Amino acid sequence: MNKAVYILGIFAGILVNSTAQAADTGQVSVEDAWIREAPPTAMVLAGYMSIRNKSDQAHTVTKVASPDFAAVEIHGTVMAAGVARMVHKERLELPPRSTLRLEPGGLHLMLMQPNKPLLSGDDVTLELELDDGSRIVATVPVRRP
Amino acid sequence: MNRRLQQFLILSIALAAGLAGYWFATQQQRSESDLSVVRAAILKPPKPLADFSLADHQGRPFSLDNLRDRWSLLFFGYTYCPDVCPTTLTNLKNVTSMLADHERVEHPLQVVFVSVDPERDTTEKLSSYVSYFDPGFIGITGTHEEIRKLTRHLGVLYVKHAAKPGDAYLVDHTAAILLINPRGELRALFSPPHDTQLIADGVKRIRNHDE
Ligand SMILES: [Cu+2]
Repeated sequence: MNKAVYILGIFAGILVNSTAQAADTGQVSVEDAWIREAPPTAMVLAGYMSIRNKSDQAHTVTKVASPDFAAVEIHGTVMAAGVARMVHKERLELPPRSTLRLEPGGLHLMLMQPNKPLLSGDDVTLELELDDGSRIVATVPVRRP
Repeated sequence: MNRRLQQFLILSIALAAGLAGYWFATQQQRSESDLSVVRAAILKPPKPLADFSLADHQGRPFSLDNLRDRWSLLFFGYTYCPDVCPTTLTNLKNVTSMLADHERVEHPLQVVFVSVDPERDTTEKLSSYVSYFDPGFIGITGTHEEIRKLTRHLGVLYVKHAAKPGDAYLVDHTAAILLINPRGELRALFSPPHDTQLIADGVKRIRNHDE
């Protein structure tokens, strides 16, 4: 009996772990997410990912939060006349059956003031809130590109 | 008689091979210093810079003299920048790795990160920042007045702003990588988005051409 519970526990663990890898609401999923490891004194880190809308309806990411940082913002890097500027974005629009890529030099998550120094190999938790009230919780690795 | 002809033929072939070898070698040299294929804005003639007085990440003075007698790749940014600056410094690390085989003793290549955010980028912060990417990278900063002496002649712009009211400020900055020659003059400008292979190739060609 005890053994069965133990085995069940392992299976549950695997299940939880695998959902964390490809965090999903069934309609929208977060894939290939990573956080750029930063120099030890960095006050801000950048997060990147692909957000896939697998459904036939449009969705919107309205908020991103993390228990591992003081604040999270959605930013876009825009180039104008060779000058790079980071702009704040209120939301991310996800048209039906599309993938939005957050990648270096473009859209990124601005992760401000980590609670503890983060190194390659560490994991952080990111929570994406959608306009329909659903949430995606993703476990995201810190790594050096 | 037959032997004479044989000797003549052998000599002719040797001479032809020698000439072909020489032709290939010069052609090769010419193509490796061909600037027409370089994907950068090349300045003809190179643009002289004015002297400036900044300090490096170890607190030592850094002026125009520190850009002389070597080639320099300059990039302007600030350590509070999590996206463009680390991406570019990682690219610069890759460029120097690609060029490691071509490193010249006489005029070596240095990478200089100029912080345009002296209020937040203290010497210690700058030191841990640049060393993270490569122990050989140099970080410099100073007063805005002295930074502008450098940016003005390079066509580099920077301006503070906040992404959202109440936020910590950000700094918009020119994202180009600038190549300075051993006379301390602006030689070329690599605009973003940056392709490390093309930058390494461009730097190699310009150095081959100029030296
Ligand atoms: Cu940002």
